[in-house]
Amino acid sequence: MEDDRRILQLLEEASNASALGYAQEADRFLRQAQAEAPRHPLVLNEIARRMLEAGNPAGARLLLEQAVKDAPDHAPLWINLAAALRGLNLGEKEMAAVEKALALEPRNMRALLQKASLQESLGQERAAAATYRTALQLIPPGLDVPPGLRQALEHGQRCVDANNRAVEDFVEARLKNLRRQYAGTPVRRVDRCLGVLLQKERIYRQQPSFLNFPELPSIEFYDRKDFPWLDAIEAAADDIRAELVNVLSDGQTSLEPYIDIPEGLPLDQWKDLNRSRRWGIYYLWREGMPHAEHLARCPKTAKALEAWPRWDVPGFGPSAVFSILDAKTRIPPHCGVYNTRLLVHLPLIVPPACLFRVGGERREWVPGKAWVFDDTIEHEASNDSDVPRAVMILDIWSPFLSEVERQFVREVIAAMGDYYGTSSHARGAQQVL
Amino acid sequence: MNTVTESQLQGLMEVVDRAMQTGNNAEADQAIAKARALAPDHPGVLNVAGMRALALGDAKTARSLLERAAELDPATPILWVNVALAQRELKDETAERDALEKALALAPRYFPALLHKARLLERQGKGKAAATMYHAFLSCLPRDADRPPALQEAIAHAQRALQENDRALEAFLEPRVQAARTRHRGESLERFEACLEALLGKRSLYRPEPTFMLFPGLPAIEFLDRTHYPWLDEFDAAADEIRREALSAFSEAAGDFVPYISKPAGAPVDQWLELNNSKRWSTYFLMKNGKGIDEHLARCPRTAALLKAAPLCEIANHAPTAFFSVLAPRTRIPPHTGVTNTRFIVHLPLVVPPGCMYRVGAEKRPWREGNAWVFDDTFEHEAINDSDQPRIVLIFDVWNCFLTPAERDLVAAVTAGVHDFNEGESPFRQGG
Repeated sequence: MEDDRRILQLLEEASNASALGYAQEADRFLRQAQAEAPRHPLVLNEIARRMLEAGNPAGARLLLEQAVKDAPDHAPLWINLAAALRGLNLGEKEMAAVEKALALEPRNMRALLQKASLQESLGQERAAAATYRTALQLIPPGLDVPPGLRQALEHGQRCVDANNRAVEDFVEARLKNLRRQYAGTPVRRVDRCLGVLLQKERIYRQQPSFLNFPELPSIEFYDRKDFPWLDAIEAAADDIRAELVNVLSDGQTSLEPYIDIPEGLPLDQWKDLNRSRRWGIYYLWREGMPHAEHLARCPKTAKALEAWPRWDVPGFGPSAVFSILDAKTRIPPHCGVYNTRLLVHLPLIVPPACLFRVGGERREWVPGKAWVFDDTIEHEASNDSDVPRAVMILDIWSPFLSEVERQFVREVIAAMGDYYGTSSHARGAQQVL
Repeated sequence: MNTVTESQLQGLMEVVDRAMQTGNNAEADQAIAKARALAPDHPGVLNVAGMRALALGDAKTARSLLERAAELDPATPILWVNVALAQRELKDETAERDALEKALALAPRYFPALLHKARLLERQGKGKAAATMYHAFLSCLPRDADRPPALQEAIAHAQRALQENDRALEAFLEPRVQAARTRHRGESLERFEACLEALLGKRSLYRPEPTFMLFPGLPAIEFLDRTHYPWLDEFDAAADEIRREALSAFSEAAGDFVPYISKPAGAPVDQWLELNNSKRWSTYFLMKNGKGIDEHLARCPRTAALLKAAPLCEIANHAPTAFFSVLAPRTRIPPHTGVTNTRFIVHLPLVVPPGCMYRVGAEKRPWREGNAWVFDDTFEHEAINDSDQPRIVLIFDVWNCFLTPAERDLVAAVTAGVHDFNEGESPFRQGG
């Protein structure tokens, strides 16, 4: 044991010296270790490693085969043995050595990469892709890949990508008849399921910043058919737009900033838009109360809103607003407050070069065409044009809550507001934290 | 010696640090004096000198030094936090608050400033605002930061403050919610109660995390409503007969019960070390990956007839699988998640000794003999048999009730297609 520690120390000194470029010193440490324990598996390993570097796989193999005999539970020895066997073109033996290493350490990155590249060279592309996929999944998101592995991992990623495309072709060929059979049936969810399986897209889910109601589906855009009352509001779109244009003729002063949060909260993604009219709002209903003056100014809009089933939570909702996004302005990705509520967009003025994304779906605003979306799924908007964009936004209930559940949610939200003495979770500290 | 280099000052500041750590105050003071003589208007030096004065209890001197430092280098948040610390000692809460707001205006997620602001609010008796700020502090902590004992203490205190606030909020909400509960007695309120518990920090929210295939847009529900599967009544009604068949197989064909977990060599075993290749969790397959095991079905004719008539999840070569699952005494199935949320799992408990526990996501439910349930096994779930007797459950696959017939058809084709492409084992049953 004492000897072992001494040998390990000498080998470590050798490797440190070598890393610092002191080749002679490294040699000295290694020779010392060799003199004291010529058959120590790690000494053999280090000598073999140098032989491999010097282009002598046959010599390395002999030493490593001896080393693994004495220390069969040490994965790095098996990996180096596999490297030697690769140099000798002994694919089958190489695979056996790599498998030994992986049986000892199933998540050993070097062993996985070597196994994958061996599978590739043996023509087993699908198996290679699976192994590469395992290796790539070991790297935590955001971690910088060590430079020594970058090339292999990039190659692995290409291999996985190519395999995903091959799976896609293979599966799609099988789906051909079914797709024909269900040509008139929406199977969008299946397509997205496939997209995730093939690593073409990721799943976004509800992340309400305040009240999280469980067991609800995460659906970015709802089926317009399920909201037939929107027909009446869409039918009034031209009138609503005319009233909005009239409001805007007063200039930006008629608008309030959409984002109005106190300083000193960790909400710096809103720094540019906070208290700014670059994202302005004109309230028709404000947190549960009709805005009499504004509604009087927009009588046709007020009339159209009679068809609107409201997210009625006294003190908090519903709101109905004109939302004006200024030219060259971007709303950063964010998640809404309550997943018991959905939002309606009725686009009114849509210049070109606007973008709206909810979760994995991008959609284009079309004037007069309403949609319903879940704002607790990460979403963002931008207006890259030279003129403002305007949409009407309405709060409605998620259709998945029963009437009884709605009553409870109303009570809890109102009580929370009373407890904290604030009427606005939407703009308060709870948001985004 | 007119020009002082930054590295010279840095060196002196390091001397101060080391001297303070070893309790050599005289040496620290000497180094500070030297640095101040060399660079009287250097913010870093002023900061160190100010913090030293604060440690010595001279808050007034500390404040003037620290304020000077912050004025000279107003864009560095920590200097403002240190000013706030001096103001705290001088009991000037307005100035303390102002200094913290300056730090936060520079860096809204700077956790030391959030912490001190929360503490200030707490000292002022503003418990609710303090709780909000402690929440901000906890949310802005760097993930893998070094957490010295003082910070750990602050985190623990912040968590306690949040819990206390949650309890106060709960007490505040209770009468109002209770009134509503009374109005709706007899109605199904489980989802709402879960929502409220999550709001009050009493419940974590879990979600499906399938290892193979995630189907989007579906409700995420741990235990499904039995009304989606009315035909399960027949299984409940036949539980005694099914149990007799299971027990008879168990006593007469024990050799046909195989370990449920059997990882291929080289695959990560992880939490399955104890159960891998072990009969402590064993199964008697009636159907496996879509194929009936004739011999076993013949031995259990009543169970076989019920399974045959039931609308199971059918995917050629993959599903259904149906089996008696035997969990040995004093055995625990560790938390794990299933393969795909396109399929749900039925449990019909047959033999349930006392001391068993079952959890899916945030919900624990006791097995009750003869009462089948349907659950989504892509939520993290675990099972425990702490008794001295085996626990036996009939398990089989059904479709997720929220898939349309077209979606089922396509999911079946995709599953079979991926399997054929990979020329491997069914992704639906990966030994666990």
